[in-house]
Amino acid sequence: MSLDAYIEKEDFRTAKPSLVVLVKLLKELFQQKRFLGLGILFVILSTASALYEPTLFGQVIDDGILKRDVGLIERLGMFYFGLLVIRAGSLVFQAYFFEKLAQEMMQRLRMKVFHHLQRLPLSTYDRTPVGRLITRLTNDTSSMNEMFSAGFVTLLGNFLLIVGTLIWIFVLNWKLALVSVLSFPILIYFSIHFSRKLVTSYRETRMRLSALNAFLAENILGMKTVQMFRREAQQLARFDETNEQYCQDQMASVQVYSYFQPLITWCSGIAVATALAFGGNKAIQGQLSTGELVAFTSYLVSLFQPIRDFVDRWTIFLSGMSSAERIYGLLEWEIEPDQTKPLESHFQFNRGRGEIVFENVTFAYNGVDPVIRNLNLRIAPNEKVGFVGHTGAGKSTIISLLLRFYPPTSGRILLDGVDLQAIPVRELRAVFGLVQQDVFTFSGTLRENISLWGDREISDRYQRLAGAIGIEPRLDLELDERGSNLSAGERQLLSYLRVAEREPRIWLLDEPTSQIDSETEKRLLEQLFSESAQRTFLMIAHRLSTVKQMDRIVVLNRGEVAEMGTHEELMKLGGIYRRLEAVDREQRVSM
Amino acid sequence: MSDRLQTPSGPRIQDSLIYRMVGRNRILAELITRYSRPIFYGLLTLAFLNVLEVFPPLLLMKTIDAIAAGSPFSLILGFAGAYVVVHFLQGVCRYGWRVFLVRSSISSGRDVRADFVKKLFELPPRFFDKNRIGDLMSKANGDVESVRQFVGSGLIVLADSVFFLITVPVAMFWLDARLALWVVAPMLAVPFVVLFFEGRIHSRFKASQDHFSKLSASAQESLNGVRLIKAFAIEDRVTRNFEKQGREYIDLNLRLARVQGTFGPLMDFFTSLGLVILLFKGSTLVLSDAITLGTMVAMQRYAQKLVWPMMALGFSVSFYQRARASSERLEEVFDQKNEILAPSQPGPRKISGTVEFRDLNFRYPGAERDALKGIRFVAEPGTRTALVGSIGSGKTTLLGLIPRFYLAPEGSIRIDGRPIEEFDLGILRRSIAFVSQDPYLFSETLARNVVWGDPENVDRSMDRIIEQSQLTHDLATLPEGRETLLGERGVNLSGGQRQRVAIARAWWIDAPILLFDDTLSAVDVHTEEKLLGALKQESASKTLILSSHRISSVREADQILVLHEGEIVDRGVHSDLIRKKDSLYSRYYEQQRRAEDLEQFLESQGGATS
Repeated sequence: MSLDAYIEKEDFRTAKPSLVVLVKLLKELFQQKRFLGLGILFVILSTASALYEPTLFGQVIDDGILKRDVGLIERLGMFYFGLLVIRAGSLVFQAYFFEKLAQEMMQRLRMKVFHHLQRLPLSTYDRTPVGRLITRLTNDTSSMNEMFSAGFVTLLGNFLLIVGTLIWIFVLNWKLALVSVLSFPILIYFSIHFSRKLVTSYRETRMRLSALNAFLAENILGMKTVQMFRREAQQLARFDETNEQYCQDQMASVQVYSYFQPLITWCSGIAVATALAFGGNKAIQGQLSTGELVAFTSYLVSLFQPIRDFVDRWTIFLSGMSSAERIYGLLEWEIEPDQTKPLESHFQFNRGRGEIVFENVTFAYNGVDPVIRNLNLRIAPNEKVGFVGHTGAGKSTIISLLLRFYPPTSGRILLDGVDLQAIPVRELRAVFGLVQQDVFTFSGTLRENISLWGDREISDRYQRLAGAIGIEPRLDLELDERGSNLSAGERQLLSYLRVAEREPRIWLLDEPTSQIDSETEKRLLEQLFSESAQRTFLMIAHRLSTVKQMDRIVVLNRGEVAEMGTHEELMKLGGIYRRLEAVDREQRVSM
Repeated sequence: MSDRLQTPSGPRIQDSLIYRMVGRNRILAELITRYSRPIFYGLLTLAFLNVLEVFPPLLLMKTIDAIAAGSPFSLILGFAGAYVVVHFLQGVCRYGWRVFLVRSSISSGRDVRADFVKKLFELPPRFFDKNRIGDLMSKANGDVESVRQFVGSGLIVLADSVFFLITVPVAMFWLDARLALWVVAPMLAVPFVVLFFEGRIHSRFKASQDHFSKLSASAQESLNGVRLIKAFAIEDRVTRNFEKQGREYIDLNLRLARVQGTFGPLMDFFTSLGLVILLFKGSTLVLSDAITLGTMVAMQRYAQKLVWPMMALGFSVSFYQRARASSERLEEVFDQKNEILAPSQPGPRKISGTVEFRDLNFRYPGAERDALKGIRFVAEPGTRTALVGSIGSGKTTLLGLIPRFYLAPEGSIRIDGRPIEEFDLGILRRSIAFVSQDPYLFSETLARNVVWGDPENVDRSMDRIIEQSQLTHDLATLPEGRETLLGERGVNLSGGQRQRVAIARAWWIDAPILLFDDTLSAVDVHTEEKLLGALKQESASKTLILSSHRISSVREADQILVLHEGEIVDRGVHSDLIRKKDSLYSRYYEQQRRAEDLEQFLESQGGATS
């Protein structure tokens, strides 16, 4: 069975480089005018000095040796030495400036992609495996880099060399030139023919390889299942089959090259031989000097090397182009609305009252099954509200809606009387401080993870909160992957402190205190509430002991408000809350 | 495809000349030995090509000298004809070495890749616990590629430059030894240039590569943490950090480019210096009639030809070093011990299903304490055994020992009364249907995922199994029903749906032993009830061992084993166990009874309001 399911077809849409992408790339290229200009200057210089070499040797023969002018030979020798220095120097600078050009371009593109990824809505992240996005950011920019620094430069240099040589030999002796390049049309015809073939087989090869890799990755991840069901042989056979096809595809590309290379050799042989015969004839008749003939054959020989290179680099160019296509494709993905607006009026809402009103809010992730149903709720400024309910009751969804990770399906949510949808999204998010259940850590120190690279130093608040937990945090600890070297207390502190440092108007606590015991948790929250008395708090909790201290508790059931009131009131009511409380107490005993 | 690479092939390859020539590297030696014939032919054509390279300058020399001597045109025409013939032969050789060498290279790539993957399929689960997928994937790609490149490009470049450095200087010295000496003299600087640059290029290349991994890691981090970044509206700061890292990457690349971009032109410069000397020395010799003009021109052409092999020698060294490092990385995997597949004596072909644990103690390799202690129980066909306990109590470990994912002490687990080691691993695993808590589905259609363990079986009814696994309702919601593509490339199923597909997959193979490792954790209570009912039917004559922390899943079991920190602390049937006051089981039960009670209550509430 083939591995067709593993091919991401959209990645291999086009076989031909698209003109639109090429134009976009050229635009990017012209952004770096300075390096482009300098690079081209040095390419011209190095090409010119390479071009002049055969002519110089011709002069040495004709005007120096044959006319026995030793002085001229010495002068030409010194000149040649100078030419070599210039050539070496310009090759060095050419390589440097083009590398610089490529690197700068890639950085720009990488940042464009990065920026764009940061602005994609969360719903896109729900759908797309992160691995594929990372590939765009790293591998695709790398292969474009290769296209520019290796492919582009060589193509440009070779192009100049071919054109320059052709013009020059026609200037030297157009009749002889014309006879010598008689074989060229054949060569050009076959070049085009072979590059076309290469493009197709190259695409096939890439597709096959990507399928092989996707299949392999999946089988490594699911190896236990493969071995449990004794599918090793079948899976291996499928792998081998595609591996073999991959090998055949590669062979096919090589076959194209194998035909192409001798063809160039034959053409160059014929071209030089023609020049020798015709030129020789003319030389005997005295119409052509020996130096000219030597120079001429030199040019013809050197004409074929860049042609050979040209075809070689074509695949690098193609691979870069298909990467470029994927990158530009990604840049067209829809981003979160009004993300582009700057964060100008940030303080306006952050200094606001901190009031939230839900008006007939309904929300369904898939648009069909509502998770929140017709929710009506007002949270007063500086009120501390707890949300409880069993799994799937819609608690966490409320937070996602407030942060505008998703828009409500119907109804609206108001912040200080303004519809959330009307507030620029990043400005809105700056109003809230989210304490998450799982603490996400970045590589870096604990301090950096708390300040999140903000400009301000960490305030002494951390000592008070750390004191409440009873730990001595190691602020300069370099965190391991996933922060696995943090203690439970430090982890907890991080999740709170990160938010506290931002002094948000409204705190959102999403099942925050799962790391520490209830006593410590109570102390921590007391400390927090006393420091932030003039703040609104929304807390989602599993453990009811946590929400007891809140001003009001909202019991959610199937996306609706089932009960509401203080702990005492709800206990008296004897409904869901009371039962939840009983389970909670029991759980704490047995755990 | 042969798998010679992974079986230690005894003294044969280690004694061979090739093995010593490639620096005692088994993989490279194996590949070169395997493709020794085409490689030999390839190198032969390459050598012939390099000999042919000597002729065009000679023909040019003859032509020029003939013109100077005023020879008839027919002679010149003859040289031109010879020129065409030489190039024709060169063309044939160029075709030849490509066909022989590049094909060997591609084939060796295929072989190493196939052997590597085959080896992966034979390694025990422990191996995959320790080795990250990213690392294995880079071995299968980058390392295989650099081994392949050595067998192709590496050998070609090496042989080409060696042959060239023999044929061309020989021709030069044959033409005029003194002049040749002068022209070649500046090239003596070349080895020093190579030495100077080699190390620098290598270390800067590595620095740039390492930074690239960092950049990728940081890209990954910023995408994984996108929820937090958005919630905190710190996109700008994250972007700034990424930009800074990108800048550093640029700097490292430019550092590399500076040395790399100087190396080539410098090599070219030193070789071309010979041409400057030729211009002075050669002209003097021509003027004094010591050599002909043609000789000087031929000398010039030869000197130009020497630029390439000088540089190529440097390339071949780096090809070799990379291939060596890569094949060592591959050998790390090839040297791993395989799973023991077959017992020394052929075991029974059929398993009826009695599973017995006899005072089993088990400790994970490298762990400090036992994961399981004194486990003793028997599970007979037609009975259900349930394992109950909190997370980390040893349920999953215990179940994983039966299909021998991990190796239990010999004789401590018996099936049908015989030590588990006496069974062929294939037969053993085929007799066990194992469903894990977080099952893995593959990028195939739902139907193919179900028949995964036995695609050829035509006796089983797909409809029935889908119905029994409570998947009928889900099929209606999937875009293409049972033909919907699942896995990484397909539709994301919910945890509960995945578990049910995995249950269907397990039922399909009709094995005498069923192991369910907390398989129903993501399934709601109603579906669980139906599944348990179906399970009763499906496994009436089978041995079922299931673990759960839901009492509802285990209450009807024939024996319940309560695990705590790796030991069985209580056993019996549900009705007995709940009577033991303050036992672990009765506490679980009490707790869950209340939770279920609540759930039912919420259910009734929900029903009333919606």
